[in-house]
This record gives sequence, C-alpha cells and structure tokens, in this order.
Amino acid sequence: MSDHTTHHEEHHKETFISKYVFSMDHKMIAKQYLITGIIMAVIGMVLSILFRIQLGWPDESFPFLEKLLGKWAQGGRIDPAFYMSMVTIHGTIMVFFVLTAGLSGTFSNLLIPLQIGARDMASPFINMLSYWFFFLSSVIMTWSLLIESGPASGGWTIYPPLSAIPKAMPGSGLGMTLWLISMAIFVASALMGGINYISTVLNMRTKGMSMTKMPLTIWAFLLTAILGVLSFPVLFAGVILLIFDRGFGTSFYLSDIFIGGEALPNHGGSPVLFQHLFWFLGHPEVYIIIMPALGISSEIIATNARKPIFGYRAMIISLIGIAFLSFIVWGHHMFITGMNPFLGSVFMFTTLIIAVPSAVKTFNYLATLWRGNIQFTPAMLFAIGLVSLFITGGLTGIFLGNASLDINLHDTYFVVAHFHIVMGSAAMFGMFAGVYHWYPRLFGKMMDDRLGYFHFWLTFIAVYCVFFPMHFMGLDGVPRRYYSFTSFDFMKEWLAVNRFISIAAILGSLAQFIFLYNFFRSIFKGKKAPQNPWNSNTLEWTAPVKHMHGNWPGEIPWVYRWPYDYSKPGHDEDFIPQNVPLSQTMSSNLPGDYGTHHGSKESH
Amino acid sequence: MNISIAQQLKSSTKAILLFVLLTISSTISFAQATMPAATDVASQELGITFWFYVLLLIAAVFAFAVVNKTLKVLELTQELNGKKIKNTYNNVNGIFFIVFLLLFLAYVYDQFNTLGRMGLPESASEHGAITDNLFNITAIITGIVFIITHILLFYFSFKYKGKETRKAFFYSHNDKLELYWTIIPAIVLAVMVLSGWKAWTNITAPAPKEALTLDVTGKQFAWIVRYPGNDNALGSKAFKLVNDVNETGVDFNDKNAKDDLLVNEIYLPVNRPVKFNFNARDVIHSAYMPHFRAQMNCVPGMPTTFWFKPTITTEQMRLKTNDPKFDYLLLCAKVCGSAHYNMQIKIVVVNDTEYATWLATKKPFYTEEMAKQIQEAAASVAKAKEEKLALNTHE
Repeated sequence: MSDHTTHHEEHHKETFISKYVFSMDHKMIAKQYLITGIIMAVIGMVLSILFRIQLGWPDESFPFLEKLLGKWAQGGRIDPAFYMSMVTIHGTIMVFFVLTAGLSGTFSNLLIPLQIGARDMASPFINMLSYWFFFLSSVIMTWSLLIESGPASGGWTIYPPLSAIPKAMPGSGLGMTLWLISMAIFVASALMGGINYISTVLNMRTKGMSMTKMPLTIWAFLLTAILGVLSFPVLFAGVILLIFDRGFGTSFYLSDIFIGGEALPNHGGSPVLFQHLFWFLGHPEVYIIIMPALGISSEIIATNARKPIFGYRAMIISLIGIAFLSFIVWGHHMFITGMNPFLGSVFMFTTLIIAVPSAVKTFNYLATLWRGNIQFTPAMLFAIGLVSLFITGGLTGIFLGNASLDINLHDTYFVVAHFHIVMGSAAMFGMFAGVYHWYPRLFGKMMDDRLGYFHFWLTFIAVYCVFFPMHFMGLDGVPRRYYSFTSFDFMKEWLAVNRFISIAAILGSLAQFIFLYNFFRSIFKGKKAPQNPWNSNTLEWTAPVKHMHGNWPGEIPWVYRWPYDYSKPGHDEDFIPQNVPLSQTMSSNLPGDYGTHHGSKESH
Repeated sequence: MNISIAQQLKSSTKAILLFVLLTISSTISFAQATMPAATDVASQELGITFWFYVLLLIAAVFAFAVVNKTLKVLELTQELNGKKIKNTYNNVNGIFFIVFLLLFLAYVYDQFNTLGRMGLPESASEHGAITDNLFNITAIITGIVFIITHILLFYFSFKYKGKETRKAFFYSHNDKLELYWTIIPAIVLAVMVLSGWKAWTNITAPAPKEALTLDVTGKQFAWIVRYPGNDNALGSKAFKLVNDVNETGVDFNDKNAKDDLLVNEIYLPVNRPVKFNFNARDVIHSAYMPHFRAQMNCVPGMPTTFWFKPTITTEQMRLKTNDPKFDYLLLCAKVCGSAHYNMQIKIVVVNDTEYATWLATKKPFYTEEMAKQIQEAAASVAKAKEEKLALNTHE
C-alpha cells in the first residue's frame, strides 16, 4: 500500500451504492455504525421512557400509551408482560447495539487506520460484512418489537428456563427466537470486526509507530477487540445450546421442570451452566463497553488539557490488567446462584483486584488535569463527566464485588444504579465525547459548541438525578425488574422518588434531542472543519478533511514521537504532531529529555 | 452599539444565573413530583398535571431559546471586540464545574439524609449485623474517596480552565507517585477482601445441627413452604410426582413425609438457626429476605440452601420501626415472568412458646383423602399420556 493506491484512486469511479451503502471504506463504515447506533439508541431511550412512565405513575392510565402500544397498553396502562419486554430490549439494545457496536464499531473503524497511519483496514471486505451483519441483527431485534406475541422478555441476560420454555411467559416464544437469531448474527459481526481491528493494529502501523507510540485510543480498541474475539464465541455457544434446548428437545439447561400442568421430560441439564457461559462473555462485555470510552477520554483529556496523559505506560498496563482480569471475574454475577462458596471467595478476590487498575486510571486522569490549560470543548466536558461517573459507579462496584454484601444487594436497584452509572452512562459519555471530538473527521464539519454545552450540562445533571437515588432504593431491598412497587407496603414509600426519577429521565432524554438536532443539522449546515481543529498531535488530523480512499494523498506520514507532546517546554506551540521529526523542533525535544519511557531511539 | 445587555452582565454572572435557573426548575419539578404522591391525587386531576408538564416543557424550550440567543449575542459582541469566545466558554464552564461541585455535594448529602433514612431497619439476623457493619466500613472508605476525587476533579477543572496566557505544565509521569496510588488502593482492597471473605465463609458454612429445616419451592408466582413436622426431617420429593394436589411432588412413600406441613406464612422461632432448602418448580426464582440480609436463588433441578439465625421477633421489630403493620417478607428477586413483581410470603418471627402454639395448630397435609386424590391425579396423567401415544401411533 503506497502511491499505488492513490494512483488507483483517480481512475476509480464510485456509484452511489458502492460509496454509501456497500462501502468498503473504513470511514464510511464508521459513519454507518454511528448512525445505526444512534437510531438504536433512540429506540432504547424511548423504551426506557415508556417503562419509566409505568414506574413513576403505576396506578394512572395514559390514553396515549394505548394509541402507541395497542394491545400492550389496554386502557392506557402498560401490560406487565410488555413491561418485561421493554426492559429486556432496552438492555439488549443499549448494551450490544449501542455501546458495543455503536461505540466500538464507530471509533475503532474511524480511528484505527487513521491514527496508526494505515490506508484502510486489513480486510475492507470483512469490515463491510461486519457492518451489514450488525445491520441485519439490528433489523431483526427491532422487528421483534412488532410481532404479535411480543419481543423477548426474560431480561437481557435471558436466563433459561424462563427463556427456554415458550410456556413460561409470552416473550419466550417467537420473540425469544428472534432475539437468539439476532444475537447469533451480532456475534458474527462482532467477531469479524474484532479480527479486523486486531490484525490492522498489529500489522499495518506506519513506519515509526511502535506499540509504545500508539495513542491510548488504539490500545483501548486493540484490547477491546481481543476481549471480544475471546469472549463472544462463548456467548455464541451458549446461544446455540439454548436454541437446541428450545427447538430440538435437548437438555443442556433444563432439568426437573413442571410447568403449565405437565412435567417436562428434560433431565440432567443445569440452568446455572448457561449463566456461566453468559457471564463469561457478559463480564468482559462490560469492559468491551467501557474500555473504548476510557481510551477516547484519555485522548480527549490529554488533548484538551494541553498536557501529556499522565503515566502513559501505567495507563497501558492498567488497560492490559483490566483486560486480563475481566476474564476471571464473571462469577461475581453468580454469588447467590448456589455455586460452591469457595468459588465465590475466589471471584470476590479477583473482582476487588480489578479495582486497582481502575483506580490507577482515575488518579492518572486527575493528574493529567492538574496544572493543565483546559480547553472546554463539548468533548472535554463529556470526558470529564465520564471520569466523574466512572468514579461514582466504580466505587459502588466495591460493594457488589464483596460476596457477603452482594447477598443483600444482588438483583436490587443498587445494581441498577451501579451499572447504569459506570457502564451505561460513563460509556455513553465516552461515545458523546468521541462524536463531538471526531465529528470534524467524520463529516468534515464542525458541530455547534453552544448546543454541545447545553447538551452536556443537562445530561450530566439528569444522569445523577436519575441514577443516584436508585442506590438508596436498593439499600431498602427494592428488587429490579418489578413492574410496579404497589404490591409491597415497604416499597410504596419510594413512589415519590420513582416519580422524580421518571421526570428527570424524561427531561434528560429531551436533552438528547439537542444532540440529535446538532448532529444532523451540522452534517449539512455545520461550519467547514479546519485541518486540525483541536490542535491535536495524532495522525488522523494530518489526513485531508475531505474523505478519500487510502486516507492520505501521496505517502503515509511517518511517526517520530509519542502522541502526547503537548505544551513541551522550549517549543513555541503547545503541541507537536507525531509526524514532526525530532530534529525539526527545539533542542529540548531531543530524546531522553523528559524521562526514559518515550524517548525515541531512532532519529530521522 | 445596541448589544449592551451582554456586556453589562459578566460572563460568570450569566453562568451562575443559568445554573440557578436549571437548579430551580429541577427542584420545582421534584416538588411537583413529590406532592401528588403525598396527597394522593384523584385520577381526574391527571389532566391538570399533564398540561402542567406540557407547559413546563414549553417554558423550558422557551428559556432554552432565550439563553441560546443571549449567548449568540454574546459571541457576536466578543467577536466584534476582537476577543476570543473560546476563553469565555472556558471561564463559563470552569465556573459551572465549581458550582456543580457544590450543588453535587449538597445533593449527595441531602440524598443520604433523606433517602438514606428510608433504608431497611437494622438487620434481624445474626450474620446481617456483621455484613451491615462491613457495609458501613466500605461506605465510609468509598465515601471518602468519592468526595476527595470529585473535589479534585471539579476543582482542577475550574482552577486550570484554559487561558491564552497560560501554558500547561509538561508532566508526563512520576513513577513513585503512580506506585503509591497503585499500592495504597491494593492494600485497602486486600483488607476489604479479607473481611468480606471471613464474613462470606461464616455465612456459607454448613448450618448447625439444631437448625430448623424448611423446604421452600418457588413456582410462578408463589412460594410453597413445607415444614418438617415433629421429626424435623423433610420427606423427599420428585418433580415427576407434581400435580395439582401435590404441588411440590412430595414422595409420600417416604415415612418422613407423612408428618410434613404446608403453611401460608413462615413462622420462625427467634434465636434458633433456620436452614432453607430452596428449589424451583418451573423457572429460576430468587428467595430474597431483605430484613434478614438473606438471598439465594431457587433453581429447577439444583437444590440450594441458605441458613441464618433470626434475632428480632416481629413484635420487637414493630416497636423498633414504630410501625404496627411491619412484617418480614420473602420475595422474588430473580425475574421469573409477568407477575414477578408480586410474589411474596410473610415471615413471622416469634418466641419459642408462641412458635410451639402455632405449630400445634397445624395438621400434616397428608391425609387418606389426599392419598386418594393423588392416585386419581396420577392415573389421569398416565391416561392422558397413553392417549397421546395412541394418537401418535395412529398418525
């Protein structure tokens, strides 16, 4: 890949379909992922508003709900079965379709080739297939909302036997089948994407881009892809076995069941086996979600604090530590399934250990801000918001990781608060930060900063208003996934709080329309983006604003320095891009002048 | 020039004004949210509340538009005066962060003060007192970290907000410092792991021999509780024996089963360990007893157990909580179907004599008549099966 590509470019004529639909260009695929992700996010958000209405006003009827949902909201009140469906699909969409594919898919695709100096992905064709598999699975998942028996409804974790036996609840019929098909296709998409990201990062870095000169975004995407490739097949296996149990009479997860007036013939299976398989993916999955967000925020915080990221090496080591440990902590989701208590102790130990690299990352973010010259772009605000949410949600993880405390907190609203803050909101903030920061690279236009500020502050306040009170509900023993809290006397006192949460959630979701307006308007009417709007060091800002095949006309830039030479003493500007040779800057930029880690040994 | 409003107000003042506006509107909506719940509005008032929110929304959009326009004016003014709008926004957002920090800490404090008091009463089980203590220690440690890191995060954001004149301090790493903040959390977490581990091993240790053993079966959507009767031994059961009469499939050929009792409320003698044998008939349930800090999943085909020692009777707890209607509960915490939200059974903790009296009123559920019914039910199941087979052969 060199001049040959650009030469080829001039002769290549693109049709509409090859440019916008079945595109093999990583930048276009990134946009496709992003826009599909946004559409799925809006669906997930609308579902959450609908069930928040139910939780905030459990005894009141809303005629508009009947118009919207038909038989699922007869008399304007949401049906309990459909409530469960909405919770399930909200979780599935947000976890997999928005924060895995939408976040990782968008930014891995956009940034990996551009930041490491490659013309495209290792396999553009597989990259395209990855998107279209994702698109297909999105369509099936959305379709399942519309079928007569309702979508899957056993929670996004789809524990059998509830999900395995159609008699168990309405959503366990066709809805569950569609869920399983959709997820099987999704896994295929995630694997094709992941293999591509890994091979691209390992093989296609430009000259001088050693592993320790890569931006932290790339490290995060690489480790995320490795996690995905190693853990998604396990979910796939679990899903296939479940399909067998549902359709072909096997007993992997089923045993000793009497339901609907008859004893099932299944014998010898274990429902807990599914939980092991599910969480073997499920736990790495939450790091698949948060690590790209952490990578994005590292990059944005360094760029906008105009300082090197503090402890670059420690950041990489902690990412690797988190990635490794995330494979041996899945059992903390299962402390009270009745598994061997000794196993519980082991998982408690590994779970609390994972807090150490997370703490290192947090302190390094704080040290990066210290004595910086912070430019509050909307992206920077969201990155700082992410750090706040990561701290808040991470600390409550210490309670849940402790098996003896988990007994009383398991499956309560405390868990809901914990993961919505640390995984949901924090990762979503990472995604917003990424969109605001790389929008000029994606669309060649600038987003409106002012609307971005509004969006951030309203969202930030709303997140804490929605999720913080939930901790206290959990401490009062209020379980999650309850259709209403009116059947228990001791939960009735939470009605006012639930109403507050619902109102905050509705206002917060209205604030998202500011983002949507800003996003779609700026594509057409935004200011034209300058070459390097944030004065950033990384390679993507050296590529022409207008997208082209092969990313750079002429030669690919070479890399001479790490990506965080911000505010270097002795240099007149506060940034030195990675492709600036050491000899071209002031003498203080020679290797070894700022420590031993990143001094480049090669000179130009 | 005409655009003087913007100049008269300093940007910082404006920032604070905007923030106050936001806070007031959210407080109002909270007040609105809590009020109807307190006064229990009739449903015809719903129309009013709905329109109230529509008006609120319109007002919010309007306010948003006004602020947005004002800021646009500000931007233009600054551009005309040759100032950089970037600096203004750095100031505004920096101040927002410090204001947010103060409001956030006040909000967190307020939540602990109000919502924190709505939590569960003191633990009614022996191990619960230990885990509650552990919870409090963890809460204090994480609380300190939470407050310090948030103060630093938002204070740094304020203090080091961008200025044209300043250059950031090039500070790429400090191995010693990084080592400290790796080792200190590691030590703190190690202490927590050890104390958690100790509590966990005690809780999950085998139940004492004198424990009362109960059989709890979850089904959609109820709990079936079986007492062992006078022999303190439960009869065995098998899911293939389940039918409408014999809901948990107790094997009545087992002589231990003959005196077993079925109950509608769980009575427990205080200060005697109780061991629950959990099982589920159809899907996974989770037996959650929040007041005892006890929870265990009920899994079809896989028996699980949990034991604890209740220490406070229902009467005593009613006095302590000052709530004459207080009751202990066992509820389902694992999603199990459409009516998952209402699957409960009452637990009553009493002293030994009351327990003995209660137990004496209960009769074993196995009677001659039941034996007959069971036989009939089994026969009809067998017949249905034969018919099914016959149909199959005809096909």
